[in-house]
Amino acid sequence: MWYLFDAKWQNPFHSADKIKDILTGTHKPIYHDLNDCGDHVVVINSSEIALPGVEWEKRVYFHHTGYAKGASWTLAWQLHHKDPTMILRKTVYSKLSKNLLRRGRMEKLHIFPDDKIPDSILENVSAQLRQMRPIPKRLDHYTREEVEKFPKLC
Amino acid sequence: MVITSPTLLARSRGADKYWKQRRILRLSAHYYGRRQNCYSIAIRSVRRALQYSTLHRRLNKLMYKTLWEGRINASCQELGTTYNDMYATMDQAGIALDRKILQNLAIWEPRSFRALALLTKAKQEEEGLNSLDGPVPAGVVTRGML
Repeated sequence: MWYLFDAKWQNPFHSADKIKDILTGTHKPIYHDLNDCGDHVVVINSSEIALPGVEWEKRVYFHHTGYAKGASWTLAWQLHHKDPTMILRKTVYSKLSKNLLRRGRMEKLHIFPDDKIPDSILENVSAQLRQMRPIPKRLDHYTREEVEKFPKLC
Repeated sequence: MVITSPTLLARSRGADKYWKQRRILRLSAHYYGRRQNCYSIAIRSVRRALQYSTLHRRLNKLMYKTLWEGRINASCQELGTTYNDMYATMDQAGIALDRKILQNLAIWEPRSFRALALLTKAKQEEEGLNSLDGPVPAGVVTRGML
């Protein structure tokens, strides 16, 4: 089954907990590690994720090329500018169990930075995962009637 | 040797070494390399294997228990409860189904499982689980403060 998840203004660390459960198949009563019962998850709007607190400035992603002097520490906002899908991908990768099944499960995760999904993937999607953090409505998106109807103190 | 006289009996030692080694090598028949055919190498692997099998008899039961709990939890989440709440409430309701039967129901008899889950949800409200509204359990002294 293919699930859709809108990552707009969501915490990637909390969303990754839910996504990893779907990828492993732990949400099914027929679950077993060797059963290959995970589902596909299509994540959209990954460029609009919201990291908590000072994570954008403080969280650091380490990478080593394997060669001498090849260590690099990239801040979260720098990584997000380079590739908006990487933060969520790395988070889910680190939350999955560290065995040989991890790579196969990551293949079932499809992340897109915005709304545009290829038709071949969109026609497979059959359900949507509920967002963990409710999106508040922007003040300028309220209609004039709603603003006038809202009760005032004086 | 065949024991036909008392002197031979006195001289006889243990069982024939060949049969003792055969007993071990029979267990190592599916091993790799010299470990399946050479006694002094096979005995090390076979001893470890036998130790593992005794220790893991307990682990096996734990492994199945965690698997069953995970499966029941998955079905509970779909129906709006959690495994912990459901299992505790079933105990209070006097339903003595174990984890093995529950996970079988969850897979093969989903409607029966759904009936049990809804029953436990109703019982939860009655007993006051996860809320401060229910009846105060016996033996708790509140002095009217709660």
